[in-house]
Amino acid sequence: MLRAHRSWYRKFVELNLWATLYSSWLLGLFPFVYISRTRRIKRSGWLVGYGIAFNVLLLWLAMNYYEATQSQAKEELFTRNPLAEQINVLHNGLLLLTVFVMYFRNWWMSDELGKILNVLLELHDHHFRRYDTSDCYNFDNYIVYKGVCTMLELISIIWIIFGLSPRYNIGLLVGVLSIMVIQLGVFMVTTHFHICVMFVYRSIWIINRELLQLVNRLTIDKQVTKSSRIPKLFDLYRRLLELNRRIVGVYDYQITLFIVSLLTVNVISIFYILVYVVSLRKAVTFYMFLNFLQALSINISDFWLNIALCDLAVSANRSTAAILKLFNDIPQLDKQLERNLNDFALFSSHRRLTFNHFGMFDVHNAMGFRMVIACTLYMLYLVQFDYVNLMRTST
Amino acid sequence: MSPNTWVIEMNSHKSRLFTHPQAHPRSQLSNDAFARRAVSNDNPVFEDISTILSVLKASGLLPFYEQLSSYEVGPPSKTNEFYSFFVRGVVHALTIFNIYSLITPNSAQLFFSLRETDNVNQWIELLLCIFTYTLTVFVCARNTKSMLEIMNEILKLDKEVLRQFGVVLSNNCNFSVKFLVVIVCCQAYIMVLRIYAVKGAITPTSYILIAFYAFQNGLTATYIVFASALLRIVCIRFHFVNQLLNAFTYVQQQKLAKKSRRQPPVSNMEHFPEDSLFIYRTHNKLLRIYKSINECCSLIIVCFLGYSFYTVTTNWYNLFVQITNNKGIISAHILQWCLAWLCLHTSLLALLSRSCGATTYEANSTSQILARVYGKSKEFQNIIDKFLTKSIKQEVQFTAYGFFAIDNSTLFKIFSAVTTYLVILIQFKQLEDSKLEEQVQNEV
Amino acid sequence: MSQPTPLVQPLLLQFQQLFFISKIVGVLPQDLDKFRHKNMLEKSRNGMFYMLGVLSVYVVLYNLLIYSFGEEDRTLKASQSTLTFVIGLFLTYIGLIMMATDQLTALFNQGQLGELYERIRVVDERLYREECLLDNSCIAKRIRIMLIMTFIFEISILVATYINLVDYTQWLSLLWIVSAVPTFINTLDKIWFAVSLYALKERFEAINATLEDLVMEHEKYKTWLSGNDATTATVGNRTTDHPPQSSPPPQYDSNLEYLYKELGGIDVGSLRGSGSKNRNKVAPIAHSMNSFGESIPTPYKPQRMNTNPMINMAHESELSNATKVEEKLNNLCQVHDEICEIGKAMNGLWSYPILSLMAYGFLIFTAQLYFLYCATQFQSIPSLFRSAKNPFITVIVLVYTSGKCIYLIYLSWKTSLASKRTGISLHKCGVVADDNLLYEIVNHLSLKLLNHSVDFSACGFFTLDMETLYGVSGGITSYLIILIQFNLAAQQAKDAIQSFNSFNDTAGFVGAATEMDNESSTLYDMVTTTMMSPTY
Repeated sequence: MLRAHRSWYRKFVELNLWATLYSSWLLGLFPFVYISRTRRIKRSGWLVGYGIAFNVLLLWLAMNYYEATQSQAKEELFTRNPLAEQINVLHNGLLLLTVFVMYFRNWWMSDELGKILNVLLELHDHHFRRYDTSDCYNFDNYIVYKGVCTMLELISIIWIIFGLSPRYNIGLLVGVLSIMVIQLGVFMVTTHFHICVMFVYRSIWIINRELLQLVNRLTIDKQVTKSSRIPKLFDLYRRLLELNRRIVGVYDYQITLFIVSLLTVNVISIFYILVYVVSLRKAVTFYMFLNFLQALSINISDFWLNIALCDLAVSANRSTAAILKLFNDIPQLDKQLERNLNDFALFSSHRRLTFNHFGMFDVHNAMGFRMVIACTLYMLYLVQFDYVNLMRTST
Repeated sequence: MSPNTWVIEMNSHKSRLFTHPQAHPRSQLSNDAFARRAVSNDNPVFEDISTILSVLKASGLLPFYEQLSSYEVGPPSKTNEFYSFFVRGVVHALTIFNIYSLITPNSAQLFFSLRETDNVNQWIELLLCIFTYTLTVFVCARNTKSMLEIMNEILKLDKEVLRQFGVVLSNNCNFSVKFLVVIVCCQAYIMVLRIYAVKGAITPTSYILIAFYAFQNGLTATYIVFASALLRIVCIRFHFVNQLLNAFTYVQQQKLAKKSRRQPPVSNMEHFPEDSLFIYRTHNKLLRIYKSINECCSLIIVCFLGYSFYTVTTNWYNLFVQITNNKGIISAHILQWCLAWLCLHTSLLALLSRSCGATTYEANSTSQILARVYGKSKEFQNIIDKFLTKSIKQEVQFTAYGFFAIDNSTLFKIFSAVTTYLVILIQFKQLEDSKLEEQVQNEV
Repeated sequence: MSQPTPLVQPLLLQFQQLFFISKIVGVLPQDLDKFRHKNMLEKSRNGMFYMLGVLSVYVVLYNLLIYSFGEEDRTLKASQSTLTFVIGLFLTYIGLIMMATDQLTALFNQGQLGELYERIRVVDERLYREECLLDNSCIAKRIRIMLIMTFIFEISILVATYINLVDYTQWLSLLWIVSAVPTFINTLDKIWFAVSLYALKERFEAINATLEDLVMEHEKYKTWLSGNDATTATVGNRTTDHPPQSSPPPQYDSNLEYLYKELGGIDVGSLRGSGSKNRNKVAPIAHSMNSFGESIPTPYKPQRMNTNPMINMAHESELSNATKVEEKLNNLCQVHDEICEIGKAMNGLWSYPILSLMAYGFLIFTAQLYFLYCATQFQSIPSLFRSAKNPFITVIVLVYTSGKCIYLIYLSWKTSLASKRTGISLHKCGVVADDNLLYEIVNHLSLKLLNHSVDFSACGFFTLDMETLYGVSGGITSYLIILIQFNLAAQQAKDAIQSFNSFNDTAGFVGAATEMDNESSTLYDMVTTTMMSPTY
């Protein structure tokens, strides 16, 4: 029964991957075509042109119908609290910047991205394809998480906008639709990064497993003292690290802006709710509370997914070094093997898999924790800064 | 994915080590404080922490494992498993009942304080406590197997040490009982304070709420003590390994040479290759155990740290408000209450950070001690290099779910964070006060 | 343990004057006679009682001082709430707490301090056997300079404050002298630490210099070899200037230079200079007169080979003989480890005093600046901080306090850098020798050196390095701004309330209330800063 369940799950994972691919093509964010003869992908000028035209149209639509999507509650809130309005303007600017930078970088770096994907494909074809990866549960899980998260974000947008403003008209519909499609584009770009990192993770996972199997064989079977696989694994490991560096280089603006906008959305939405409750003296209905809670929790989980993804890969890489330590136990090793192991160990201890954006910060759990703490503090500062405004009773 | 997921078989290796002659001159080892020679076979395992184990077993947090031999524990029998299951169900039912009665006005008599913010604080504290305990129960239920595995690994290691060196490692975990007493006393005291503070007749619902609250707090704290005890046990094993290695360092070798100047120089360096294998293997195993403990407990520890951070902050704040209020009346009741909480949480935080710090220190000092071993021959140098190369830049850490490392400085960091938040809270209070004053003046 | 003919002068010989003064003032309890005759620090019960007596006298006098000068603060005290009062007391007593910490720690560690110097002596002997020479004479000079500086600072602060700001018509005002005692005792204790740390740093540098010497000798040896090989021996000068193989490969050298720069801005040129300076260094035993005028027998004259390296004679290089040099490198590595251990032990002995010093420095620096601001605004300040009324004296106080803290931090940082630099020097040997066997030895030893760690920290809370200094100075600035802002806000509020309620009876009451609240929080902030700043 479990096996059947697994296979369904695998199918679901594949569905997610396919959905990502096709929707990226549809949105013009993935300007590559696959040439099955050479097993390579190639950038296509037509797709680039289509993508630019499509997205410019979308942005124009969204700008045009922006007014229609504004809800009444928000306007009331802004008249009450001018700071909130200023923050809103700033925030909108940030979101717009995010969208622009994301699309622009996506086309600008598409050449490099194509090369990276080709290398990834080659690695996969030549080295990793023959390994069985069906028990790499984390890979499947994280792909599914990301897909579900993207879906939930879209649903949450619909729910919020239609829940807050009951005036349905054609302008609202077009505006919301265009905003949603733009958002979907943003999510798709991050999903590409996500999937790339997951492939790197899976490759490292395979290397780890191979190393462990080697240790096990060496400890159990005393006759075996040689193995020629270490240099190959070492080479793969080195290439993966290099590849990962390039991937992060391509995506660093996009991911940083994405994370920043997620965090600001959270801070600002909490601030809005506080203004709404405290200074407008409005009772929060259960429905509204639920609405707020779902938006907040989906945003936070999306943010955390970004962090956890990087942490997963980093911790897999850390365990590579730990596994290499296990070779210490084996008394008699071949001279050559010993030397290879030493090289590998030195390399892995000096060069780690890191997700370093702009050389400024590494992404892992500790960084995520610090980000959350910083956001909490910012919220407190915001509340404190606007305390007088906030506490002024509406007499 | 970690090395923990694959158990490495080392049977052949063991058999080789078994032939290893046991008549080493290791007098200096058995003289150590943590080692004693007495071997009695039918001791219950982990008898040092048996009290705490039985408390945790009775509350369903740990399984009632079967003791197969003096160096192995087995999975619990069906009835015992059912008992743990039952207890957990009861706990969850009570939790749901509590949350229900917190929402309904049944519990209104427990929130009697004058200031509204205090009540909110109490609410949040209650919710945090419930959340922490529920999480503890869930995580424990999920980690039953890995907990047993950790125990078995530790016992296996002990067995091997006994066979190799004839040394039974004691656990030195007497602190656990003391902490248990402290926890019980604090919780009972707080319970009494609470009951006395309530005005009028107390409804049975309130009794249940108070009692269950104390129960939850106590058990979470007990689990933290248990985690610290486990860490202490690992720490002692690391220490043993380090001591073994220490015998080979150049300082010890020089001392030996001085002692046996008249006799022909006897160096125990010739055992180094064999012993180093044992040491490396044990070190790896210990690291694995350490990591599994971290994985089992880290979620609970993060939650507990958050909870106790909140509690400590609010209690300091209450104390501050009490001391600086302009009326000059200091309520003895609130003072006692705050002090009891502070005492409990501070001591637990100190215990946790100290045991984590000590273990981390011992684990990291192995390579430092190994760096002091000077082998004459090429072979020895290779053995040393093998280990040192692989432990460059690989600091072992006990992390709270990867958020931050827990060691001696954690206590310091937590208290500095507490002061930061206190300053913010106090500023809020001053703003509130100044607003009140303004209103008073306007009315005048 | 004392041998009849010591190979090296003990380090403590240089500490004579410092020990006298510390003994009299009551910083150290050790036996005076033993120190004079054997240059050893030994436990002494009488010294302990003397020290406890001195400590209690200081405490009594200090309290008397606070009591007699606190008259002016009475009015302030009456309006204060309990917590503010407690914090005020804390600020007043932090100097006393620091002094007591120093003295009590010295009492508890009196046995271990002697052991520490004994260990340093053993290290010196081992270094001497490796022909690694140390010059201790500058340590005595350093101690003298530090003592003179301390006296100048203490006396100038004391006299200037006494003349300018204390009412010296009353005889009780003489008690003001006591206010200088805690800082003076603390400084003496810290001089012990600083000088011992400096000695450790010198030992690290001596090891580095020895390794560098090996490299240079080998280079010359190689030059000589290539000069012999060259058939045209007439242009010896040119061959020495541009030897085809003698200098290490340039890319290695530039790499190492880069590393040096990273390790604290020491350029290679000066190091080479120091390497050649060592050549002219005199063995410590040559200063065979200690300051009591007793001579110490000089059993052994170290001979320096190769005093004139340019003579075209048969050069010897130790690096060409791998088996011989292995022994030497091993020994140097062991000594390095031992010095690291001594450093750790020393840090352990002084960890609480350093923590208290850092807390004191932080608090006093912030408080002094804040009170200086208050004094310029004609507000009342606590009587013990009256030196803040005069900007000139404030500057001296600040320089004195911060100088102590910064010097300790700087020295600890330098010491740990010097210990880390040994690895580079060792590697140079491996690169220059160009020998497979030696290279393996160097590899092995540098792995070991990597695991010798000496980091100085205050009770493990924060490490003493320049980063911490940066954090602390940032903390001081931000808290000063917060304090001054609060002060401004309080002044404005007071003015507003007074103008609003000028006809109202309650004006005074409300004004007092706001001030009180405000003061409590500002003082509170100041205390918390000490706890918070080092973590960020």
